[in-house]
Amino acid sequence: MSRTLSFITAGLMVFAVGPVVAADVVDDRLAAYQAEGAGPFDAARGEAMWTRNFTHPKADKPRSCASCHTDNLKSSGKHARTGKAIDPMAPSVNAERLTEVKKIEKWFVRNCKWTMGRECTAQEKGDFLSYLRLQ
Amino acid sequence: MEAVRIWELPVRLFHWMFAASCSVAWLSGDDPRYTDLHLYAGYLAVGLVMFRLGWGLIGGRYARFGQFVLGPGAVLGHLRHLFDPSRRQDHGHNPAGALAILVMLGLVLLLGLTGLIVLGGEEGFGPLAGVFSIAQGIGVHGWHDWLAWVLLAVVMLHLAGVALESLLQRQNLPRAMITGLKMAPEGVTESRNFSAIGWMLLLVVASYSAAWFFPYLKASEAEPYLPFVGAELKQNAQWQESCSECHLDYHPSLLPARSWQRLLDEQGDHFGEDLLLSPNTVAALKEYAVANSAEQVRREVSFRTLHSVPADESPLRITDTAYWKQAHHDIDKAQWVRPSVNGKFNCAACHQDAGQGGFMNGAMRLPE
Repeated sequence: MSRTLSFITAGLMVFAVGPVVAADVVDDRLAAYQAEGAGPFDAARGEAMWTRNFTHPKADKPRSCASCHTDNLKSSGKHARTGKAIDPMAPSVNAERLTEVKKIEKWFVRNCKWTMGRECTAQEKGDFLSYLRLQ
Repeated sequence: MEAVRIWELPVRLFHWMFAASCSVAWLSGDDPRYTDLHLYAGYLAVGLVMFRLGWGLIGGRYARFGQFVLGPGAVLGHLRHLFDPSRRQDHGHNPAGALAILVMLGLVLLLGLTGLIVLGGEEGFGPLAGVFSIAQGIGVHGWHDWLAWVLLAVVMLHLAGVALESLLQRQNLPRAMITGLKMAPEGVTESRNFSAIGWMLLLVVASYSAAWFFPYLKASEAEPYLPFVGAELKQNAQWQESCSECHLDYHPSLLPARSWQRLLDEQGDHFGEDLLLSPNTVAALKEYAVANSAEQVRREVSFRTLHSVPADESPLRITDTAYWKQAHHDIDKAQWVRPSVNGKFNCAACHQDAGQGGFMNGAMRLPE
């Protein structure tokens, strides 16, 4: 095999393997939530929840996921307090999204607490992931 | 009376470049943003003094110290006959003017020396970097400021003297420093013009200026020219990652070690948010923060911040320290709410080296 060809093959493999790994991480999460008694999951419910406004007991303004991530998951968001740019949530424009279990769970805890004042249930997390993975 | 060349070209060029460099140094001295310009003007002024000292030995007839530095007796005699210029013999500098000149040259040398100590001590830059401590630099900074005020006073006396002499002699002395020509009785020896040396002096100053400012021409918005970034402070990947998820990864050198310990101990309620850091992460971050806290890092900003925090306090916000407040007291309120700034925690909006933790004088810009 020529050198160029092997590079192309390697490149294609990266493309081929990337999304598969990402899907696996999300599938694993959904399976884990199911094991906790949640499911079936619904992307539409996740989307509705994403833009819903919550009244946090300690906040004066209503909060939603969109407060920081904006309504358009393919564009950059902005930290509500510090203004720091947040990379897009959609895996189609940001391949790093939904690839790491630790990060998924960490930010679910932190951001559900910030938005609603409580952690998300397994059902809610499953709905969110089902919605986000399609973006 | 006839027009006679008294001031040769090098003396005239020296005079105006010296006046300009001292003015620029004076005007750029207060605002740390203009430190680079201040240093340019300061080095230039000192270099011009060096030239003038040499020229005073080998220069034109009226430029030589032997001709116009005549001792205290001459100054007193001059002042006694101040209002009777016909009795005076000087066609170049008069004895009182000569005294002002010597004092101004000496003051600028002292300003240069103290300035280099401040630069080496506070900023860790220049030929005296590493020789003086930050505390010594801050101490000498007071003398440097004081000397500048004295110089300003002597310049005012010099200007008053020039104005008075212009009236008494009925001739425009500032113009004489441009043309070199003064009205003098017949028979007064004129000075050679030394044009070649004048042009060489101009060429040297022009080359120096071009070399100093050239990097600004190459700089862009993305790669600004930061003359005072300094050696990079110790960074830590875990620290950068953990902090920069939500905000600037403030370098640990910006607060005392006890502040970082408290901040990490209270990470469950970090300004209202639970950071959810694992015990291992907390331990690793603490180790890095304590080893690189304000106590450990040799930077003016660290030194001043540390010394502005009472020993029994551990502020969690850098903006709560007295030094931060003092350093930013004259920033207009409207600046903080601009979209490009967005708040006091966004150091990087103005401090272009905030990421490196430097907070050096020259790396400061108000955003567009």
